[in-house]
Amino acid sequence: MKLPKYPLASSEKLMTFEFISEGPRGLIHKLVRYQPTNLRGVYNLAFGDKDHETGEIDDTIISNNGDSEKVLATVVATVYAFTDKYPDAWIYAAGSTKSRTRLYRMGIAKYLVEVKEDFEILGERNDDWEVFRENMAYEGFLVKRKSKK
Amino acid sequence: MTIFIPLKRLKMKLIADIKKRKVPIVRVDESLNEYDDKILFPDKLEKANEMLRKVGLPKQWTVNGQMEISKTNKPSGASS
Repeated sequence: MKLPKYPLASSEKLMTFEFISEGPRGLIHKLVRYQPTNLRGVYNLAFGDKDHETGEIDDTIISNNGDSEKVLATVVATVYAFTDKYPDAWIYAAGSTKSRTRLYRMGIAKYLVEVKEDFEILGERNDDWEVFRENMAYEGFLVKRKSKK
Repeated sequence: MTIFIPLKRLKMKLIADIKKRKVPIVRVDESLNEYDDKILFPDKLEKANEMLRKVGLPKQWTVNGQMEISKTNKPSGASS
């Protein structure tokens, strides 16, 4: 995606990423974490604000720093980085609240054409998976990098 | 024939190329390693596990609709 993104730092295994959001509310440290689930090769994408003093992470806070598109583009960049290292990984993502899940859906829909070039994207609906469609209310999303040709 | 490119133009081109990359250039910060072994957002992870138990993975993309249950929860299939 050729959108503005924040510079990224990561752990050595590229399982944890950090970036700093800049806006009217100042500098907010954000953490993106790919957590192994009970299924081998499937990772849960979790994302929240990091308290720079304590290191605690909060995934329910709404920071409203006026840069949601840049933050989203940066999170997508971490998906590229993670799946570059773990090309067979499945990534599951759902918001901590319904409104956040809806935000993720809107973000995916906005960049769907670009993202579909590189990823298979599924939406979770009625306890089943379907190919992501715009304007559908999904409970979660599953993403897998397409094989390089 | 030697072609000289002004350094400033070369830097601008390099920055432009970096911005176009889909896979970002990431700085490794060893202080983040500690988070790799922590379970952050345990409720969210439990919810994800519950969903995967109930729904599983897309059948057309898994072998017989099954995926291996992770014993170690360690990342697999790292490319490098």
